[in-house]
Amino acid sequence: MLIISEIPGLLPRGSKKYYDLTYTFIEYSTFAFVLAYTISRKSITTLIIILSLAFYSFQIIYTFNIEQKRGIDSIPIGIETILVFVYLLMFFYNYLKTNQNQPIYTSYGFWVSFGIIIYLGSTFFFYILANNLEDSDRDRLWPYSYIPDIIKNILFYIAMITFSKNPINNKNTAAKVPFLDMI
Amino acid sequence: MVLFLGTLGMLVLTISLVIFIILHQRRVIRFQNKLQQMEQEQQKILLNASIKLQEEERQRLAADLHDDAGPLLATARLYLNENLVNQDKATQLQAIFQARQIIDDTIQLVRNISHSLMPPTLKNFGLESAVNDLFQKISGSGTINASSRFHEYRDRLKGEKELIVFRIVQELINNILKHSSASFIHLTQNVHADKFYLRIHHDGRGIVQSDFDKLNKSNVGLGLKNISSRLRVVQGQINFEKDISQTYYKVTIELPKDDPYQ
Repeated sequence: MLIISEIPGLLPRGSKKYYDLTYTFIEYSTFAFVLAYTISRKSITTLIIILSLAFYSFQIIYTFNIEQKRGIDSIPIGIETILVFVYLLMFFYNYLKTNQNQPIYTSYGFWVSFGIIIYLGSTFFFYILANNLEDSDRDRLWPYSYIPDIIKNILFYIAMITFSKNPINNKNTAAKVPFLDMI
Repeated sequence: MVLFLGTLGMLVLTISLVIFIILHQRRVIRFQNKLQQMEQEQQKILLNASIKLQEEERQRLAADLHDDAGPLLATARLYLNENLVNQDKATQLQAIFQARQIIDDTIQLVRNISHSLMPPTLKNFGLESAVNDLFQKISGSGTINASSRFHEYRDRLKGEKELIVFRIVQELINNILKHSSASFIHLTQNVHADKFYLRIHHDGRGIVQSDFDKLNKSNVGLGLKNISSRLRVVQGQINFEKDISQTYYKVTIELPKDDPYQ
């Protein structure tokens, strides 16, 4: 993502909005897919798919109908953040409901969620207000948005290590396992 | 400034949320472990109660056989000793008659012991007949008015389930007779929404659910623990409560109805 962030400067002037569309689309889809996979409940997955389709439709309408003169696509980013926060809350709720014996930080899903929360929480206001800032201010503050990005990547790395250590225990399967401790 | 405060606020909020979730989950895990420990202790108490009950039953059987059947058979043997052939015919007949009488008594005794292990009425005619029989016997004693009514018992429960329910009813009735000083006991059976219900009403001193739970966790109340362990086997529930009129005590047993296709 850090490398991709440097691409807009190299792009022709009119294609910036398509770059924003693609960037937000990939970012949102990655977060939504990882969270849906981690939660692995049919009803929640269906809800995520429906909300994602609505979000994609909105993104397309926004890109082709609203003239974005400068800056970034703040509104789709804001909606993306809110939607991903909703998925994160669903993940935490579902985890607390189904996995009551294992500490949450032993699950890769927790580290992924923590990374997403830090990243989206830190950059939310900056991306929302980015179009209202002076160009010089925006350019000065932009490098600071890389800090949560780096933290997120570190947390994702921890998630990968956790997943590789115990991939079976990392899924929410407790609700399906019957009680078999009989004497 | 707004940007800085907003970002800081958002960060604090999200990190607080994560910390809250971790702390909450740790508390839940601690609570779960405590609950599990309590459950294990409860299981241990129930197991001990069941072993103790089994031992008591064996001792009772041993005592019945040793104290009653043993002397009877020994007496019969005395009548039928070797000297009998040297006796006159009248004495011989008398001895044989006495021995036969004693053997008949022994047969009756063994039959009684066997019936106490598995009532023949229950085995042959089912729970309804066995319960009616039990209540008639209690009523026949004249000290207490006992009646039972089965409203919907066309499809009998499975054999082992019937025996467990009958033992629970016996235990409850025994407790009522021993401790409640009731003047009447009434049992009703019904079926509702795939559940089998048995309800016992009595007008004596009784217990409510909290007393039952307390006794179940304590070291006393062996019979009640036995009821709990039997109910656990048939996945049933029991509820002790006082009638709305506060005059009667009622005990309700709830079991899942047997699947007729199984």
